Amino acid sequence: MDRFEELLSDYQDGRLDPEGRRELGLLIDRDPVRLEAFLDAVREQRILRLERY
Amino acid sequence: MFCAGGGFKPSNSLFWILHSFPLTPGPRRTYSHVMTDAEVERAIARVREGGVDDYEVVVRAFQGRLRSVVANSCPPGLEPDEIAHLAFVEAFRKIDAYRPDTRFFAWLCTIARLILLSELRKLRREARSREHYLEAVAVDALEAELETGSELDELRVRALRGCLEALPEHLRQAVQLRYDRDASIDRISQRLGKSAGAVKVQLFDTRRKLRDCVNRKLAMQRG
Repeated sequence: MDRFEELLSDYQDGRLDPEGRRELGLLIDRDPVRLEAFLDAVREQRILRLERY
Repeated sequence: MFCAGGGFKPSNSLFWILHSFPLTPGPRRTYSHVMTDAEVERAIARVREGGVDDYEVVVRAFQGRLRSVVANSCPPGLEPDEIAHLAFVEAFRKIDAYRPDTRFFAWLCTIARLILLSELRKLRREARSREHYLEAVAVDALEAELETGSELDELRVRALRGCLEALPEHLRQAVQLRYDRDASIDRISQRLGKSAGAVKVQLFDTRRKLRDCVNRKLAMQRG
């Protein structure tokens, strides 16, 4: 797991502190591939919250 | 007679609709199977003729689908339910502008997309002013996507649903606890009898599996 994946995982687990959020913001702002991965993760999270299991 | 599209004060009607048609938290995956397009169109026709109560039929028919497609474009800080609710209210107010039998859901999605764009712009200003850098970057990207796309995307929702159903039960259970019950990692670890670290790794792997599966399905569907 690289730093980006670690931060993204913490974000999805609801455990990312303000400093981590800023660091993640910087990483996705500089890299379109990471930005897309972050957006996919946000979409996935939002849709999963609406699903019934 | 209380008619959609005219004959009443907008503020009163808006108040009435917001309190009359709350989105329900019930089963969310069956609406499209409950009613046929023809039944929905008949309900819409009755609403246009003044049968306000029939709008509830329309809301029930489409709320699950609308929530999901809106969620696909919602950044942190915006709630899909709120956007969906506003879209239903706006659609009710403009119901006379809908041309019968021309795909009501697509029309509703267009309304939701415009509301979403407007809310994204508000959120972007707010995120920048409060120096919420992560949210600001996400909002910028989603706004750009919505501005170039003509409709909200339902493909990802369907793909994710299929991938979720294909997960082994023990992996789906952790996802369910995390998202349906909004449980913390610590709570899930207690519930599953695993360490917090093990749960974190399992969720990470499961999310990756889901994302790979969704991307494969999307690539196939988009040719």
